[in-house]
Amino acid sequence: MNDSIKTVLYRNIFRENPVIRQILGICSALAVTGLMSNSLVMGLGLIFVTSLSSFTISLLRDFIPHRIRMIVQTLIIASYVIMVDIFLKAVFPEISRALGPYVGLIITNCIIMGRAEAFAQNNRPVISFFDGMFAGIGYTIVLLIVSFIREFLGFGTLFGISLNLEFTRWTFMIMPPAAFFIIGILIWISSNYMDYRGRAK
Amino acid sequence: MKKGYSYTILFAFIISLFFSAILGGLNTFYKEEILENTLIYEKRAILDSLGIEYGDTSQSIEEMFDDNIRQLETMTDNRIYEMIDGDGAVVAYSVKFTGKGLWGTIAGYIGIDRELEHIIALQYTEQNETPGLGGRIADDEFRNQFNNLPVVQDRMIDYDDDIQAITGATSSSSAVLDIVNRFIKNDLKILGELKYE
Repeated sequence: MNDSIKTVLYRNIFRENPVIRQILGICSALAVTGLMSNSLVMGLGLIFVTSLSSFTISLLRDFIPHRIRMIVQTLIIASYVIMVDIFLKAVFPEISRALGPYVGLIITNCIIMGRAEAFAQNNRPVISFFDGMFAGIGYTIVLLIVSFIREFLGFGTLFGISLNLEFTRWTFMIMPPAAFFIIGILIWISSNYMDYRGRAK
Repeated sequence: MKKGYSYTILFAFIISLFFSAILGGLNTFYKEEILENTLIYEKRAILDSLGIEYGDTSQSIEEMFDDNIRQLETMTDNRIYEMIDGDGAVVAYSVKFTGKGLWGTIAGYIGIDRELEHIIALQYTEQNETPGLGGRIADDEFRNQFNNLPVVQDRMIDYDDDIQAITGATSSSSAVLDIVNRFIKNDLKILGELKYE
């Protein structure tokens, strides 16, 4: 497979968006989307881990013994996540505290393992890096959309900045079920435009 | 024997060693900073519980802490800090608390004046309540209810005109109330005995 960067970009952000189309990474999409700042940091962490994991796994793909393939992938992914965790704790402790356990949970995020198995195992390192990066970007975009709606309606703020609009806050938006509903609506909208193969209807 | 058992074991060993070494190195490199961040966070909570103000930098937190606070060295497992004035006399106490919230531990400090008559303030070092709901126990609006709260040994406090729960966060609010009541029941006695030493 010799996909171009443009193909990989379009595929990972739109046609096969990990959250809206592939329904991956839902757990963190529900948990951190209460606030836009948390979503952004989570997204950046995931972009970092997914791109570097895909790159590393692709680099080693001819050397990894097949029978321990997934274990090795998990090892590589976990290592990058812990790097992010240590870095945040040392340099941005406030953000680390705000995200709490969810940084560590990036290890379990299906998107990273998904890209490793589906793409990095069978493609060259550089294009795998971009594949991972755009998958992370696709994830981040969805998270920001969800958290935009949740933070605006639930808190009346965006990125922590109050908009000074007078309306009764929708407390429901702060709770996890709100993310379920919003993501469900986004999936419904996107599947009205694309069939299950990602072709325009 | 390229993909036989020996190769598998060797590969697994080498790659584990490689990544463990990188993480170990990174951890060591940042260890002091992480520890310092944790300590600064504790010190900030102690200062907040005593109503002491400080600047934005960690340096100013350290300075205010060193100038005003002294740890009480007794058998009370390092939970109590004393606020001292210019002459070294004790002006107030700050006591660490740990309690059970809805989702996890709630920990922090309660400041109380030397006469043990009024709580100065309350500040958290740890709470994992629902962000936006239970998490609002960390908001000034809720915390400030405990500022200058008069307390009497063994007289439990309850919700009233002065202390109100947060709508949608009853469990978390009550958890904090329980923590304050436990403080009144247990720690006031301990502090009272200290006064007469």
